[in-house]
Amino acid sequence: MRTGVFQESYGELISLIRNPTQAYWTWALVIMSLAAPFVLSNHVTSLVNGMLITAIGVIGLNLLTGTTGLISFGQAGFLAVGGYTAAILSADYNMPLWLCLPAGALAAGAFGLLVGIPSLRLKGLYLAITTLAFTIIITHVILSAESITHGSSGISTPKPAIFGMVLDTDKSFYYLILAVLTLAVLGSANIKRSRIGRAFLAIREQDIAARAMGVPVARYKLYAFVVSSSYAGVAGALMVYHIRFVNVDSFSLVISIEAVSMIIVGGLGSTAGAVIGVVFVVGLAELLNYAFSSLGGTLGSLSALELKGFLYGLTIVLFLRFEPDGLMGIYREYKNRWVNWPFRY
Amino acid sequence: MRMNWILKGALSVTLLVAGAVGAMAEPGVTDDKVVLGAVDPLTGPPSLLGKAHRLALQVWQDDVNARGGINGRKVEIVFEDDGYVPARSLQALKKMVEVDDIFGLIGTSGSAQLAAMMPMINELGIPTLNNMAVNSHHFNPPLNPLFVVGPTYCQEIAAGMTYLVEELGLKDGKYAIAFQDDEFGDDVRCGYLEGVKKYGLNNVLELEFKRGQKDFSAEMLRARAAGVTVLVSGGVVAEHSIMLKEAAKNRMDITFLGAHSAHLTPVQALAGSAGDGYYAADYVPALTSLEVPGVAKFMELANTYLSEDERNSLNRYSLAGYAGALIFEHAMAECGADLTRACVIEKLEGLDGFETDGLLGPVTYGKGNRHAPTAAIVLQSNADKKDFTIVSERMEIE
Repeated sequence: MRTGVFQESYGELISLIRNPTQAYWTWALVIMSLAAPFVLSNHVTSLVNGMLITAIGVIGLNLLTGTTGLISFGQAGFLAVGGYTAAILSADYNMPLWLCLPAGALAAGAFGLLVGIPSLRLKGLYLAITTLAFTIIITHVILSAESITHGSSGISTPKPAIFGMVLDTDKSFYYLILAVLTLAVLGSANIKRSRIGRAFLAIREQDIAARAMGVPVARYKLYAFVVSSSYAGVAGALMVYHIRFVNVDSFSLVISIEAVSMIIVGGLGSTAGAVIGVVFVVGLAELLNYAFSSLGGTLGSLSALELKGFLYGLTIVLFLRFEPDGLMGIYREYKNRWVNWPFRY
Repeated sequence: MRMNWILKGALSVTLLVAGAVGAMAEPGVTDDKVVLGAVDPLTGPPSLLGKAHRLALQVWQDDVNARGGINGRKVEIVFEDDGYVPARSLQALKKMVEVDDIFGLIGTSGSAQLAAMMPMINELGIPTLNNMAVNSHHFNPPLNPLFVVGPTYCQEIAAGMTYLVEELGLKDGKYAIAFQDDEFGDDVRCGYLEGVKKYGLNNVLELEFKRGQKDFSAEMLRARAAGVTVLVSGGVVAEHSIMLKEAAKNRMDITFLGAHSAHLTPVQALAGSAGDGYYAADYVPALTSLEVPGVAKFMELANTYLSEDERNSLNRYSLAGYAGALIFEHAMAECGADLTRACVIEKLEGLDGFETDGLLGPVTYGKGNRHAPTAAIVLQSNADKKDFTIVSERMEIE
């Protein structure tokens, strides 16, 4: 009788797939992901594309806030830097997508380094406010630097194409996003199981103790900012190609707040939790949209729109209040019950 | 001979099948129904605009269906909320195209929101009427299926400046503008500068402020120090009210002009007594301008189809939406039973001096011209009565 999953070596402990069951589920997920566009309608595929792009940015935020413990409300700003970099390069300089995506990541990473410097001296709410200010500054810079960013008019981007293949449908673009998300997940998981990830965790738990253990805290904090903002940069670049238009309205502070709520709902510090948090929060909004769209065209439906926003906010607040470990916490609890049954532990 | 008959028969069947498939393939059109879509900001602060627009489209839908529909086809409008976020506007359009199978689009949310939808509108050739937020990027260069109703903010403010100078005789005043740092603010400034240039006005101050700013004490003190007597506001809604209140607090005797976003009763209400007497340039009359046949007709329909609460949510965006719907109805009706997207686009393009009972100036589109009408009027606020009065003739602005 199975009484749990045990790792007997350090190698097993840090391996990405730890047992055959995980391997089966991983393969099932891969097959489902590849088959999804054949099953889903264009509209749902487009929604999924939006979700996957959001997930890339949120995985980055999870590395910074969930794993390293540095609260950031600057994700919308990094998203804007990545998005505008890709939009300017593709629309004004005809640069190909395969160059624009890394360029978005690099530009956002450079800004991440800049924003990360205050993090060496700031913590908690003070850091949160500094990163919040970054988003406001970036928005202002975009509006002011009209000769480069086209100001408030925004930029329309060409159809995404990679190596001569035009990805002009949601279904074809899906595979590119899926590939980037896979790299993002693998990158995050690998960072977390390496020396760097352990340093991030040490900083999150107690940065003074981490320094006492010989962890170069300043370097790793900056590293966390750069990696996190690069993720957001790639997400911003993909978002621009997805919508084929960018302007500052797409990067409101609400996006940063939503991103933080997604990692909390999913489960702080967990890569899978970040993805599940995105699916839950975005999915909840869409589910409520779908539920309320049947109410028809009366004032009742106008009131219902307000009710929808209220329900959406309430669900997230209740979640944060009563399930602070997030969806991954619930998953772990039920998994342990299943594995250990009929014993409690 | 027999072979010839077989060939003719086969050809006829092929043409019939192709015709049937072609008819079926026209999105959103059946024998008894045509489905239209509207993307509106129904949540968040801009919902003031979106809800009023939506209610007007509902009134039109109920009215047109009560009249037997368009060429026997009932109209069904699918509404989607975009929360004024461009990404959500595009998502909403994708949903309406794929799930709801819309034929045309008669609600396009804000300026940037429409910009996000434009590539898809163009690629699919969806006949679209924008009557909410006009920007020159929407029609310059023109997109074949996209028709824009109403002048730009630049044209509205230029018309307002003309009124201030030619009707009120304010040529010798000290002019200033406070405009927000976005596309809307730039467009208002464009009209202001045109007026300044046209009449050689004394432009003493140009103040740019951050979008969403709620404290204008510093700006108004600067305006007072500069001796400003005419202030053009490039704010959206609340900014007008705050500026008016600040001016009253500083006992400044100024003439205030805003774009059509100032033609809203909440702007009056927020400004209190300071909201009396300011001017707003617009292209539709006030809801209380019952002397205009189009307004009287709309209010009569609103009384029939809307509840009192709903009627209280109406504003100038309702009239703009209703006027746009009338234009679209005319084009669809002209197509007769054979309703296709190409036909509606052709009929819209062919509009020449189309009248909306005074809701808009005459509407004329054409090849390469997707923007009309460009005439604007000026209204004055009556804070006590909580309404606006038309104080100018329609002015055509280039």
